[in-house]
Amino acid sequence: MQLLKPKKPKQDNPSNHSINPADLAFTARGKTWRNIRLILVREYLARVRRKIFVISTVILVLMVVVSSFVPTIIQWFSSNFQTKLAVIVSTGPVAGQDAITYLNQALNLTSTVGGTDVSGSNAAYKITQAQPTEANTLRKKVQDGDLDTLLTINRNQNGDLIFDYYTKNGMEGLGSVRLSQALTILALNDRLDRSGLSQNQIAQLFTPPEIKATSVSDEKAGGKTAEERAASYIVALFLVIVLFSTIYNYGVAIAQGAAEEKTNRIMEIMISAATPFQLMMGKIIGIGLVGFTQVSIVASSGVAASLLQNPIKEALLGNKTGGVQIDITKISINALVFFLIFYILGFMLYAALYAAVGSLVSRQEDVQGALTPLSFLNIGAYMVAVFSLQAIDATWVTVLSYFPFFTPILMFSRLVLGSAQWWEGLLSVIILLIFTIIFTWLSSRVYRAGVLLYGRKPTTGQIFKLMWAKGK
Amino acid sequence: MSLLLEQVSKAFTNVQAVDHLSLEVGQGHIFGFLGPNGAGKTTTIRMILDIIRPDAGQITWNGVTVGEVSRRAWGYLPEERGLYPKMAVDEQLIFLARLYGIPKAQAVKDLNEWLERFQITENRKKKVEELSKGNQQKIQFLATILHDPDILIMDEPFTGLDPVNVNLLKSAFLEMHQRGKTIIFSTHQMEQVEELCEEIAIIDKGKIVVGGSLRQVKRSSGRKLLRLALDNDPVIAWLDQMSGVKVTKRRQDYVEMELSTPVLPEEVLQAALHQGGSVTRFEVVEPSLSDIFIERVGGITNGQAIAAPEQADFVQTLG
Repeated sequence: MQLLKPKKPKQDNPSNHSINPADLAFTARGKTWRNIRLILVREYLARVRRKIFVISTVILVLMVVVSSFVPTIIQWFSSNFQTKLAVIVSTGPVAGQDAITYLNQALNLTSTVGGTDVSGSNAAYKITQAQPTEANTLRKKVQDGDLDTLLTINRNQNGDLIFDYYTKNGMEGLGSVRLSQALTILALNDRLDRSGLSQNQIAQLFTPPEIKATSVSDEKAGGKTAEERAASYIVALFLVIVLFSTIYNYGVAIAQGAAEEKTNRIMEIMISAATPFQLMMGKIIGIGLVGFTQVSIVASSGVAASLLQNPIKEALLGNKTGGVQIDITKISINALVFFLIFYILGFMLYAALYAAVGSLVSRQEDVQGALTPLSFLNIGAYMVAVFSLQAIDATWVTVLSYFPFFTPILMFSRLVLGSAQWWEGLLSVIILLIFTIIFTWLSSRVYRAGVLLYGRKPTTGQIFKLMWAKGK
Repeated sequence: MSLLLEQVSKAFTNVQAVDHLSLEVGQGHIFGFLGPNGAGKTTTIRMILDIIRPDAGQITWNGVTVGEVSRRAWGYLPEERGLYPKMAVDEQLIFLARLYGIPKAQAVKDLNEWLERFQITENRKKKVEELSKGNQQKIQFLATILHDPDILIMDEPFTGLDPVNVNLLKSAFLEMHQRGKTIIFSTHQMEQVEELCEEIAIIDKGKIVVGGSLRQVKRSSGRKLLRLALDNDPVIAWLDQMSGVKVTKRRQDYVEMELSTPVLPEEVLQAALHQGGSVTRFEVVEPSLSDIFIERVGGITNGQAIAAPEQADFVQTLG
């Protein structure tokens, strides 16, 4: 054993009796963060540089942008589509009014109160007055498709108005509904006029009643308008989908990542350089940030696209009203803060479980199978959330919203829809936080035991035993 | 100043992987760790690296429990090689070195030197999966040593290497030795051990069968072997009739025999000359490590299958 002495004396032995245990603990903690940071940066970069990430993000952005343009596009198309209507009036003025003027008002005003007259090229109906002598020519035109509808207004023996409606497609479609409503009112006006009511009295009769609807949840919502509630509902649904799909996609990515490191056998080296806890946390945070990056890119392009809608509508249609209105500026800062908290904690809770499951699998092909129970839990939470949006005030929703695996989605929906008080949100966050810490800790034990297991799938008992085995 | 294992034991669900194992590796020495498959080599190595902890006993490096020794002190080449296949060579190696606590600038500098030395600089931006097997092995070796560890632990480092790479690895071994690193490696290949190791231990079923310096181990067999070659009589059939001589090997180039105490090597030489043989080889040798290995381990297992197939059971892998 004395054959060879080390040629070079060792200068700084990192391990030395003189090291103070407190220093050791401190450096260990410092190293934990340093290693988690190194690992998460590696995980993050390895994933965002992949082609599949870039492609899927681009596709998602396109989908979001296109779908936020859809209402505007539909409106633009429908505004460009004019129904050509020829009217033969054989009655003279009806109820003291020219029938053509009435129809123009009734059919081409966008809104009954304070609407703009769009009788120009943007009008939905292009109305032309025709002479009774032209009837046959016009019928021919309808048959050929040059004219959409020929309307003849006449009176029967009783003096009631009769409308002769000649069209290729019959009385169907939204356009005809509007037309038949206008004609019904015209006929009523005429009858009332003939029975001796003044124009003023008739106008009074047709003034719509004032209806004010207040639901229990409206009261709870703290005076939110119907528009705000609609926006909240859509926001809640949207965020539920974001939360669910991020957890699902990136949870699976975490499990696959853990299994992949085992398949590559890099795990053996990693585990000697870092602790299983560092490996797991680095992986969860790194992949979580990849998800967050994608969601941020997609969400900000979605927000930008929907903020662009009003200027675009104004430019294209000359007005910005009508169509589906989602005013995203109505989303409160509180809701966003809660979303961020639930997003992070919810992801961490599920991610810890996905990591633990992934660490127990030794082949990539087995990952999906092993994840089935977790996927059920995740999809279950999603289904519950979607159902609960219809009955947000139900007791079962309230109860389930405190169950940590459902909290991120359910409590968030309740808060956004005004069915929960802020302190309920806070309480659920505390419960969720405690569970997240417990599950992260438990998962890191499983991870520690799992990463060196190869071959046959261990039984639950074996996993449990290994979790409590001695180790770093 | 040494790595010390004292009465270390580790059991898995149904296997006693390591059983009251004690050994010492002097600082700066090259230590060969031998044993059949499933003998407990990998488990011992993992315990030295603090990847798993012993049920009983303790492992210290210069008096400090291995769990408290900085990770930077250890370089590990696992039996199952592995790197991130889709990561570039330089990024991967710098990442691992930084994980061990080397500042980035230092890691880059050292990496440049090593890539130069191994003549793989042109591959530094390539993904690991794009490299040839030989180059992957070099990268794997760099991953073990880039952070300049004090102790190198290599599980079967020579397995699967072609002779060129075996030589490259050997020279790297010797260089590490020159730098005063402690090197521990496990292997089946006895030639490498005889060539490189100052100390060895043969283990079987979690216990040390024989250990110490290579010379001690060889002498411990207490046997003397004689090799004789006659140009005009390669078989030397008359040896079988000679009392006190037991032929152990008949090869093309020599015949090896074991002599019982009263018979001296000179007597065999005289007999050969007397028979009119032209002697081309006559030497007294110690038994080869391979002989000792088979004698000790084979003797213990006594014709049973040498070891359970690895990874048949997940706990076996840990053993």
